[in-house]
Amino acid sequence: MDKSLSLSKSLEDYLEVIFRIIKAKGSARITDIAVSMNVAASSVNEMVAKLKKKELVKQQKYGPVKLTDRGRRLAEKIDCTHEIIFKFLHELLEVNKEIADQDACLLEHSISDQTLLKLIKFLEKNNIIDSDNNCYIDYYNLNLGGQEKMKTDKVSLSLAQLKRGDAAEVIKITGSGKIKRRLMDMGLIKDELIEIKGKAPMGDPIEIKVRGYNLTLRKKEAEKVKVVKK
Amino acid sequence: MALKKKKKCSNQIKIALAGNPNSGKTTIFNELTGARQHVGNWPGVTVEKKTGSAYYNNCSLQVVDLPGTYSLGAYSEDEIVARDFLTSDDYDLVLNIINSGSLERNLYFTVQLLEMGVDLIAVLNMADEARKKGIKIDHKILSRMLGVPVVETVASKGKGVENLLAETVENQGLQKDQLKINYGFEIEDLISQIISQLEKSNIQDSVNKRWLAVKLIERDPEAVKLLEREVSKKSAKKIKSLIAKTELKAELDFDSIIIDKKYEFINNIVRKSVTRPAPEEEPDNISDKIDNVVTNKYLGIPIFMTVMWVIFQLTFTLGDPLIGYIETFFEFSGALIGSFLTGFGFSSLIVSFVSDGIIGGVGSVLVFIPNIFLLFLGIAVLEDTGYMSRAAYVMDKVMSKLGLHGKSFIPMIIGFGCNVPGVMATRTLDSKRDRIISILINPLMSCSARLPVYVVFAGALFPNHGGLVVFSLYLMGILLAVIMAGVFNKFLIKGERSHFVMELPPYRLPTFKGVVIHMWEKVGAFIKKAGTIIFSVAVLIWVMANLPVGVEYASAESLIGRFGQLAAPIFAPLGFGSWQAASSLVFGILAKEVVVSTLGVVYAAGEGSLRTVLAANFSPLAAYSFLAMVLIYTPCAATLGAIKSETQSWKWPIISAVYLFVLAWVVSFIIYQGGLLLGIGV
Repeated sequence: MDKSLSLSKSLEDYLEVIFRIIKAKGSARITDIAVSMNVAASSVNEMVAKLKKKELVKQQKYGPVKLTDRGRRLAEKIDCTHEIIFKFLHELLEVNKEIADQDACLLEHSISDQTLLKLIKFLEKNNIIDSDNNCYIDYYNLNLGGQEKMKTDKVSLSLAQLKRGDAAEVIKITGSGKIKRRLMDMGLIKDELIEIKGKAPMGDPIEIKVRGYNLTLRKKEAEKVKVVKK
Repeated sequence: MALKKKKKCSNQIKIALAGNPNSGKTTIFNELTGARQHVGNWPGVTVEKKTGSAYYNNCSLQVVDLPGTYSLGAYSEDEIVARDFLTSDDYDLVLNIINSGSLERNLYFTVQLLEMGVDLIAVLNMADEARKKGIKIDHKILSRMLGVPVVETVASKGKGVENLLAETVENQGLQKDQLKINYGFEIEDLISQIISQLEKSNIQDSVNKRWLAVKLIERDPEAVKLLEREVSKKSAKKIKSLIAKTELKAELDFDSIIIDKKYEFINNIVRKSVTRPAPEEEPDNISDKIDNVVTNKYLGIPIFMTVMWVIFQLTFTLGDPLIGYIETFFEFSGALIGSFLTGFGFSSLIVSFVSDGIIGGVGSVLVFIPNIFLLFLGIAVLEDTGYMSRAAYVMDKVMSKLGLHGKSFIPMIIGFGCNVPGVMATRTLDSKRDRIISILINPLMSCSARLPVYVVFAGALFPNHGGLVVFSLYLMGILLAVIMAGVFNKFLIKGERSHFVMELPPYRLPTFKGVVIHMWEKVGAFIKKAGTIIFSVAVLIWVMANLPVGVEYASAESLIGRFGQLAAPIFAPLGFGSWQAASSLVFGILAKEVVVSTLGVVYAAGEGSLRTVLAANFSPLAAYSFLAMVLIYTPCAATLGAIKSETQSWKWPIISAVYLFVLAWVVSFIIYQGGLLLGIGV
């Protein structure tokens, strides 16, 4: 993460809470935030003003607090980090739920990217992280080294986002286990060129051309294939 | 050919056919073995095992057709079966069937075989298709780079098969070195560490250590099992932690690197041995053009429905007159043999056993044959042309909402005709879980045998709304099937939800030989397997209808009548607590349409008077409740037999018999008691 985005722990906490309230209720009001953080509405106002200054949230006067794109990305990252650490503590080390949650709140602000990445890999190997429910995937992609990163910056999409007639190059298959293996066995590997041939009548599954043959797969599986458009 | 020196065959040569699906493996198998085939199952699983024999120059060959797979991982039962066979050493040579049109993907499988150290001949099949696409393959370069003989065939026209046999005999027992792909410094280092660990732990010499090491690095669950079987717990743990530690240090996933390197190796071979036409010179792809229509956004589903309707019509409209002939034949021969035996002075009991029990029982099995025959003719054509995959592709969205696979739609449609072929058609599903769910909900598709029951009751009690009543029953069946699929999905059937990653093979004209063999396999399997159980049930019911000695066939005093009386209270809350209704349901298990004839017998009524009797004995509400019962309750013996033979276990026929009975009771109870409360149709 670049320096301009580094926040104090409490600002990160606020951002995370706002993100969660929006996710649960659709919008976050000052009172909701105050209740959820167990603080006075005036302190919330003060913090929201600070976040506004950093262009992480926006708010019309007395209206609900909304996240900017940048704010959402950062909040997602914090939320995801929290989840990963929580899963590690609770599901693998069997720390009880409350303590795991508290500790995750503390650790999420100070953990380094490298440690987090290794933790993700480790949890994947131990099947703690479900490859279908992967908040960390996008984050994971952003942290790939060298050449991969360059390609990722060139707007990486998932195969499911492409349209009929689009040509693309595969960057990697995310997720783990049987389905990743299956996709790679079928020839969806790094640097392979593919073309979208069409979609089934109800928009799912999709048909692609790869390695000289026609392959169909559901959108859910296509989401695991990261590509760059040609 | 004649110049080749003839090798002597001291023993039978065992060969196995292996390759990707849609590579023409089955066609080659049929060409090699003709009618000398045997279809069974691999031990312990429901995967089909086909074996056959062939002869060439006084050499006898035994041919095993392995399941078609894209890879030798542990993705499906098919892959595990193929792999177990290939590691078993129970063969002399493998014929790796390759679709010449998509060498890039097919060679991935070939490379895996070579890495296992399998001795093989690479068979470039469908050479004509590749030529039409303008693809040229240099056999010499390919053969040198893979280190194996290469033979070209066009199996659908029988071309090159003779040559293939000659090469097979020539190359038997030829030992080759295992192919080694360089996986890069990091992985190679790990491989050699694992191999030395394996050697230290006194692993058997027959185990291919490099292959096992690579599979372990890929975290292949079957390889881990093998390791745990072969070496001590301590050594296995040591090796596993060695892999885990090394990989944690690495930047990228090892399994991805291994697959990437395999493809890199293949790309290099293809670059050197294959010339493709420039994109602008590529001939029109006819398959893609057909697909533009067949899987079109607006036309896809109507076309699918039309195809299904045609198959359905073909099966049941064309089949039913034939069924009539078979029924007449059995009735006639039953009567003939009956009178013949009576003439010889056999007791009436023995006469009845032979004519009603045995001939009637066998007849009840054989009447399904025309339907099954025609249906599988239709399915064989759909599969061999390549339309089946398109149907699955088009319907997948709907079926995935039920937790099923696109292909599950076909058995359900077929079930409306008859549940027996419906259950058998689940063979096209790859995942065991999808198959079991599809099998369990299939009896809820209201088959044509239930229609006579609906019609009789509708005529007797709902003269003005007959059509509506019958339609509502069909709809009820579909709704219950959807609900039960959801329930099984959530609670009962364990196992991974299936993925939909499927090839759409190019359209092809089916060959007559292929379709006929395909069809014969299914019909033969039905007669052999389902036949035994249906026959036993028929005999059992006959015995129950005739005991104790001296009673009138199926009367109130017979065992079945008594059983009916005993069971009647169970049905009382559903509105039909008479022993006659209960006995007719017991007989209905033999075949659902028998409910009508049994009611005729037990109420001692003829065709015409049955309606009057029913109207007198059932209220409209009770009749509707009875029809719901007939729709849902325990499947007929033939269906149960098919479930047994398709699942290779008694568990599933028993589960479906029990769950459907309970479900039927609950639904009928709700209908009858609900109707009473609301005062409808009393």
